[in-house]
Amino acid sequence: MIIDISCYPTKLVDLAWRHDGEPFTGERLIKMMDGPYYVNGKPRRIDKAFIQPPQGNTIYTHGYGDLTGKAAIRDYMSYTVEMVRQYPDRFLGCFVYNPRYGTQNGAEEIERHAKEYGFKMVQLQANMHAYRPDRALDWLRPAMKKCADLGLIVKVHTGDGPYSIPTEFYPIIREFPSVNFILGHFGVQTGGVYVFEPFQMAMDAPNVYAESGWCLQSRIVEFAKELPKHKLLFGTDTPPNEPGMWLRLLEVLCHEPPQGLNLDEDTLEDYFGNNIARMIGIEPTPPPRTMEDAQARLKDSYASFQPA
Amino acid sequence: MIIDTHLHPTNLVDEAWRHTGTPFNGERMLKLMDGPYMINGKPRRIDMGFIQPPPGNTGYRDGNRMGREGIRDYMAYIAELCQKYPDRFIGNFNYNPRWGPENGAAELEFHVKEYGFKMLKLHANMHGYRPDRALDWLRPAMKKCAELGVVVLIHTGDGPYTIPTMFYPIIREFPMVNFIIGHFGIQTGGNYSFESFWMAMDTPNVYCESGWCFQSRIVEFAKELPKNKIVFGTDSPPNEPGMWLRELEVLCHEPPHGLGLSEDDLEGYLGNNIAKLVGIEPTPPPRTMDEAKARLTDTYAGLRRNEGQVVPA
Repeated sequence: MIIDISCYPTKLVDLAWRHDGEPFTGERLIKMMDGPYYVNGKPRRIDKAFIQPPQGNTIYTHGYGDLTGKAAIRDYMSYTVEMVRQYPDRFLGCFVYNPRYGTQNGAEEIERHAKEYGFKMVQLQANMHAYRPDRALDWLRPAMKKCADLGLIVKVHTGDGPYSIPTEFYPIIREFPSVNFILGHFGVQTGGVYVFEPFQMAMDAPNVYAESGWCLQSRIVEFAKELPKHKLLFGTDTPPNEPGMWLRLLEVLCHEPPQGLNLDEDTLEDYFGNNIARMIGIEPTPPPRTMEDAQARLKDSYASFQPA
Repeated sequence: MIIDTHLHPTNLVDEAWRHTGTPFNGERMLKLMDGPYMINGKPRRIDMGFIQPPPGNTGYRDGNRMGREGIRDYMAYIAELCQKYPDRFIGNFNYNPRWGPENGAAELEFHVKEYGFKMLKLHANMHGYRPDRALDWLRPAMKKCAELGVVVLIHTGDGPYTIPTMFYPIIREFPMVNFIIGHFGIQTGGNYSFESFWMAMDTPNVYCESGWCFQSRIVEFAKELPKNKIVFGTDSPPNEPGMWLRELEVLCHEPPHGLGLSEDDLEGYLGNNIAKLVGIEPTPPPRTMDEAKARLTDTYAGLRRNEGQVVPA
């Protein structure tokens, strides 16, 4: 099973990043997820994706609505909610938590999105929302308590200063050991390269995981060799990225050293989606063993497979 | 034609980076280059590659010979492979001024004239010098590059000495030499992709190597850069070509991931741009599956050469 933990379908192009072209809607994302992508010689699709609004659209912007508090939050989350309801077999909701709309408001909206729409993840973007995660702990605690109560995973944008350097999140990570934290795009972004931090944090802290996308190709083979197998999760940041390149990043781990580490296909499947599936209570699937198996799964994640 | 500007076959694992496994020798490199890799639905191979020793093996270590003999020792395996596989490998001379700037310049000339080398590599971090200030260490080699028409590939992407703009003084002093900003200003130690982009935009003799560039930035940069300014390079090993071919192939998709790039322009990025810079005859992209398959074993299959341009036979 392949699950992409970072996708941004939208009907409004990200106001911060201004990607080219028409808005990358949910339907375009599903077409892209369908591929097929060839992995170890077999055609595959991205079975499911965690979706969230583009980060640049989750803060107050004059001319884009004058809503406040919970209404503003519901507004920037609305298209994601619509997509999750329209395509429940393909999309899983990820709630973007912006404490600037009120920390209690955000916590309550997390609960509502989890209970009403089955959201299973919360994203923190301290750079876009402008706060120091190591000091503005009072802004984070209400949401983190809710994540602990509801068993939600927290994905953290990391990779650029001033507020998204991975270790800046250690205070909140340590205060909430019952919450699982995913370090987004392995500490790499256009603003910086902090790959060694997520690696060491995931090695040391039981509740820290690393997302594969953006990781430097020649480093991930070294990190994957050392990390516990359940600590690496497939995520692409699509759009603006696209899945093919990042599937290849992990597929190559099945090659021999130095580019790969002779990874077995079962562990590759864990990285692709089974690890995150187990974390959120979705039935994982073994990798397709035959071409027929793979082809059947292009339409049905559980085809030719009887869930336990 | 696909040419990888950045390969490191070796018979000794990089002493600095210590990659896992047995040495990634020339024969393993050829197998990796042969692929095939699917690009826009057609199977492709890496036709040629510029090869150089792993940078970690080009500095002095106790027991090495010194001066020109030391340089020949660290370049020996590359020279051997270029002679053994002249249709696939093109030599890239790794210039370490600490073995003597004049020695390096003389050895560059030797490697160009004896083995047909066409590129020189600078690695200021590995060799420990500030490229914006140690100009006297660089000038002898740069003069030789100007004289012999050798392209210079610069390791960039990490401090303290390989931030792209630190090379502006030497780039400006030698406008007749073409400089490639290695791995688009990105390394494990940092990201300077915007610097690389602007340098290539502003300066006629600056080009960018595609590998390591962030996928969601290269589509923006490619849209603005002149089409001749991107060259394909992977840094294999430790990287591998498939992921970085995919990065450029996606530019043929529609926005936001791609920019609707034509197959001819893609072929420019993949190899024809660097081919033109070093005097290799470029080739059009394969138009059919049969053409593509024939080119898996012969770069010029089905094409007429030596008539000023390569055209379908």
